[in-house]
Amino acid sequence: MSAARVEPVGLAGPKKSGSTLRDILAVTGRNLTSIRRVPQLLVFTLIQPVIFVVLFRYVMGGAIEVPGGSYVNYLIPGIFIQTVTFGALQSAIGMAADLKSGLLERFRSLPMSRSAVLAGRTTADLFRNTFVVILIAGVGFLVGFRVETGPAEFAAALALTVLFSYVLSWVFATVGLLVGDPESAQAAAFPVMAPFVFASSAFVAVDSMPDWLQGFARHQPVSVVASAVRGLSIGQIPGAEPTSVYVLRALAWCAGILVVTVPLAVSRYRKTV
Amino acid sequence: MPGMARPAILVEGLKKSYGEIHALNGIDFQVPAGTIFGLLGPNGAGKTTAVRILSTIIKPSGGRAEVLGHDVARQAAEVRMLIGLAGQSAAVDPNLTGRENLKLIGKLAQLPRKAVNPRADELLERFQLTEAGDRPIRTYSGGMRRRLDVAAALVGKPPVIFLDEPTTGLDIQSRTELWVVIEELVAEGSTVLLTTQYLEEADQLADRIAVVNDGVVVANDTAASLKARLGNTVIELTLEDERRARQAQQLLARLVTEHPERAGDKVRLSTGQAAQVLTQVLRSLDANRITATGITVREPSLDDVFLSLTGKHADAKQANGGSKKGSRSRRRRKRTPAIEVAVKAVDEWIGDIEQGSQSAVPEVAAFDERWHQEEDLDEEWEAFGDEGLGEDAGARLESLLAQLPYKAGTGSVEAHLTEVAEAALNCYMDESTKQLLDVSSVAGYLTLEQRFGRISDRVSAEQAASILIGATAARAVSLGSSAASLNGDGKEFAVNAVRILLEGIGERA
Repeated sequence: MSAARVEPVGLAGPKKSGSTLRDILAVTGRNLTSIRRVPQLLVFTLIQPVIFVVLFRYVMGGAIEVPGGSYVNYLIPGIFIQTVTFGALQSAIGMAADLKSGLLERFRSLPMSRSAVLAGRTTADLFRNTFVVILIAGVGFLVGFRVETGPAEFAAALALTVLFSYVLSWVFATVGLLVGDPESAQAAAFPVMAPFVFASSAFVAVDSMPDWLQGFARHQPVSVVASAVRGLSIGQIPGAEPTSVYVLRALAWCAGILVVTVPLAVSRYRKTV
Repeated sequence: MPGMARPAILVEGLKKSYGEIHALNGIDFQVPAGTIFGLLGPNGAGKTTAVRILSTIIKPSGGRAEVLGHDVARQAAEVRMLIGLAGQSAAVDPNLTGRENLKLIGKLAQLPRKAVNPRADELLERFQLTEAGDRPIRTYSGGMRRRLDVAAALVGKPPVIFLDEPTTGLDIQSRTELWVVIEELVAEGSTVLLTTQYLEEADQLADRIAVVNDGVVVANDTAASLKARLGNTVIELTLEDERRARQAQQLLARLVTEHPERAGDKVRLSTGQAAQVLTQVLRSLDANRITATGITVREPSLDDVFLSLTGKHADAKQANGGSKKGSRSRRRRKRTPAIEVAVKAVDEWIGDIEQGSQSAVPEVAAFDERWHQEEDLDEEWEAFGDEGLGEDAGARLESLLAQLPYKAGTGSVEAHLTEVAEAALNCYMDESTKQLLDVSSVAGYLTLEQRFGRISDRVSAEQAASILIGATAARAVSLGSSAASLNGDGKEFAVNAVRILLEGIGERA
């Protein structure tokens, strides 16, 4: 031991203090690579909606009456929303896995932006969801779905779907942080999601439901977004409100959920680990 | 003060409590720049808590800590620019390749853009991972994973490096390789804080060692002085029974200046002149017609340090709160009926293993092959522990354990699993046989697997015990050792594992 030794601060070399954007990109890249390395997860995300398409289009579709006639046209926008809702579970699982493995602890010891972990997770999920939504649209066209509005409106429908998926990935990233265990996250999330997806306008018209359920089914976010996406894809169907009303409500829901969830997620992240 | 070098790490009265539990009870130490400082202690002593505070992961409940003059709580951002962390408290992404992991950390450590790739290449080469660099981490062996983990801590060229039990679970070769790297770090001017459960490791690497127990520093000294306090060598005799052991103890007390300690049928003696003392001891026993059934001669272990410093064993956590300092007599741990039942169960179980072991040899070898190729073998591994060796032995052990007065699932099984795996390592360090060397890698492997989430929390306590016991037996068999080694070290380990498991789950719950 030599007292004369100089403190080796200079050893670190030139280091800039962090750029948040660069950190977010780095974490996003890491998450996308993870998704690519475990393609099973992506495949499972896709299998479920395909089963739903087959089930509702060919098995039960004949027995379901919807306003406006074509059930496949009614169904596919609903499938978009169902896909991204169930797919959001991946955000919870990913976050919980990182927490459990100790990766978040390493991140906390690094001079990186505190928000990059959450932002990187949700951004990566945004890419994943965009990819999934485009694939599901392809499946829709294969089974006979036809856009009845125009390309611009349909693009807006897809964009709204992706926006909703982004909102949900913030919600479920928070769930992942709260639960802290991938298996539990998976088990806990499904019972919460199911009523939103099934008691909604995604697969059947809300008017066909019992009165006591209609209030919830009409106004809850999954329904509102599904109706907006449907309106943008196939126009206003009989008995529905104008598309612009649904779109505005959908955007309001998205904004509302983000305003609540993002601070919650960030404060939770600061307290966790 | 001018003329006096500021310490690289300064810890003063540091405290951390989780509700009623005091993980750190006010610890103090200083680490001069450019040195290696060892925090030595058993599981739950507070080592990891100290590292987590110093690396800004958690905030202290009291006291303060500085890294290169920056307060870890109030100037966390500055501290993070100066530190690297590896070991228990930090992980790498198993789905990314080694190179991708290092690049990710390089970016997040705010290395200049152009420096990220060369730094990753440089570290891969230095840790002999260049060939494996483009493979996902989940295909790595335990030793490779740990090397990458340490490499990850160095990416940002931090002047202060925290290594939290960096070699726990590694085989002796990987451990030695890591030691070399750690020594090089300091040669380059870095300051290293190392936590370890191994006296040998602290002795090998650290300029100075703080021994931690129950959240307090019980000694802070150089390795040489610590060892000098203990005497250089420990001689341990196993006698036929307790009565003989007492006789032997009295006999030895007249022979040597050091006071012999007794526990059950074992008598322990530390001495600076092992060869002479041992000859004397054996002659004297022979003359008095006392036969030793076992003799171990070894360097002092962590357990000896603890015994000497605190009067109790390293793994007897908070067993008795009362202060009995100064009493150097070995206090025999109270054996609860639960432990006795477990010991008996393991005893019988190992008998079954001996019978079944011969037929298991090829299977073990095949399993071992695939284990290295890293498939998802967790379930098979469990089944192997249950069925592969000795028919219904696993079921019997489980049913015996099930009668014991503890409730599984009352704590994080994960934590207990880790403890059990680490008990295996302690056992290796104590008994130091080549067979157990590999048992320890199995245990370490389990620890890692569990850390990376591949063994779920829901592995029951019973399963954990049988996995580990199965692992011991399997490894011993696969190494071609005789049933005798199962009876000796393997059994010792298994009993230890179960005991720690019970203490962890049962008596605390």
